Amino acid sequence: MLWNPLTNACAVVSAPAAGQQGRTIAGYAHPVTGRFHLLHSSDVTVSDDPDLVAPITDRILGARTDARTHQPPCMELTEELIEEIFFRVPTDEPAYLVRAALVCKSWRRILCDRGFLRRYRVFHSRTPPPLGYLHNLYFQGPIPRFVRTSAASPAFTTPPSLVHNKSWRALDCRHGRVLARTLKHDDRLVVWDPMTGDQKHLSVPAYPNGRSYNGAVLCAAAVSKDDGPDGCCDHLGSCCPFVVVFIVADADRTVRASVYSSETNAWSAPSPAVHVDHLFDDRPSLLAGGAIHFAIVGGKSILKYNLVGHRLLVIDTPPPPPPLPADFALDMVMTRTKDGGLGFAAVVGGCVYLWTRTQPTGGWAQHKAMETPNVTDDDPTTSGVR
Amino acid sequence: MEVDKGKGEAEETRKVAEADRDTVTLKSSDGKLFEVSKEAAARLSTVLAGMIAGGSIDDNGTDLKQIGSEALENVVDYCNKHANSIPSAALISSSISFNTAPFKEPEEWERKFVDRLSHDALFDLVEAANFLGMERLLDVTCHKISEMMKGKSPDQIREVFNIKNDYTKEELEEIRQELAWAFYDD
Repeated sequence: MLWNPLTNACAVVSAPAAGQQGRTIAGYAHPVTGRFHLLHSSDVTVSDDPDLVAPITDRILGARTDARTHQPPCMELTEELIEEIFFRVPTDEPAYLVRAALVCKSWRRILCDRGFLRRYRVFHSRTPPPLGYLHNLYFQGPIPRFVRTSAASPAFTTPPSLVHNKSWRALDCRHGRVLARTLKHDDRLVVWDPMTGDQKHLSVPAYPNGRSYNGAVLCAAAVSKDDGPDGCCDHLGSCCPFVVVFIVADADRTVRASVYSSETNAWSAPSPAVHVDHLFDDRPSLLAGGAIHFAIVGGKSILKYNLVGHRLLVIDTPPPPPPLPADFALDMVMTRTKDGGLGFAAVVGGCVYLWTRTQPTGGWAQHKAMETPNVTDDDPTTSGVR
Repeated sequence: MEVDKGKGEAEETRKVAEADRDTVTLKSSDGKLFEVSKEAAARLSTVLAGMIAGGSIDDNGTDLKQIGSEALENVVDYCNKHANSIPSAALISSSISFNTAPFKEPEEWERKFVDRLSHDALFDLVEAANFLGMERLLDVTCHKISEMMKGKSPDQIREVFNIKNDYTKEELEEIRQELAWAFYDD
């Protein structure tokens, strides 16, 4: 049986046949992911009969209740103040909190508490810092596929299914999961949780004339939330269901989308088709305003997939700022605005330009620009704040 | 009635006199008295601000039974130093920066202030800051204590915090194996 202390979810795994000798488990929760880990076992008779399983559940949950009320005799400060101290641990040093969890059981209990993790995030008023990034530069090159951005980032082990295949491409990374596609031999999509090592293999939806593709992975809770996933799910552990959006363009640039749901373990029927002028850009998609946005080569338009409604839409990107000609291919980056909508950013002449959607006309408003301190431009007519 | 009225007037006079004073007197659990700037106390402590506004400050020393004299002396010292300090450029600029984190790094004088404290004095001061609702002092003291965990193994942290290890050897070994990345420099 597995028990997730954060959700109180219990599951019987590999239970021996009723009446046979089996083992009950006790363990601890990973302080970051909340995943339950086996610590030791003791022999008991295990049954898949719910009436017999329940006492084991109660025993584990009961032990947890006891731990909550247990006050360590050694702690000088109250739990409230210990929390205050943990709040001040820098967010870019996750190892500190993991080590702190090993100091004593009560510290571990504080750190594993979902409420604490939420308050920790609120205290630092921002999304958790990235631990690193995956790149597609070399399939077997000198640069590791996962590059750490913090000295204390975990050294993730790439799933054997990807290592053995050797040729694979990371399509997306969101809400604690990576979406990759194996390119040779066995064509599959792999959803991988680097923190837990869990992975799920999906068949690639069949599009016989497919020329270009891209994909996105996201927490299922984000689908029904227009204002983005923040607050609706904290993605602790791999227990929350996920959704994969896969888009394919035919040779004539007709695009359709298929959606996989881990809850139903099935792909949807293809969405109604739309037509695009160019194929997909390799850059990752953006989740904003209840839709996934995919970049298209040339940057003149983007493909929007509405999560509710299973519908694709092509929308034009903002025109480049004057004096650039309207057909100038500006390298724009999709961004998520403060209110959760779609925006764009681009650097022109040493200035960062930002665009947001104007309502209800649906045009683009350039409403903010700033000088970039690290980008220099020798031409004084094109630099400065606009 | 006359007597009562007289008493009321005296009380009123005393309150007015108290309101005119620039300082408030605080009394520690062991009966020692400390004077602190009223303005600084009201600005830095939500609890003292409430007491001052509510007129529950005692001219002969407001009882703070939960705080010892050493901790209260440090609280008063912090309030006085804070009143004299000019906000640094870093603090001003951070308020308009893109990073909206509410926590601001301690200033140089705040670092020095907590660095000179003994282990016990620091822990007592955290409790006093929490009791008095002194958000900034809680920030500074908790930040100092969190720094005491920096780069330390669980064993070393236990030593600093005087905590008894209640894990079994097997439990610890299992967790360390699972989370080896967090112990890369042990």
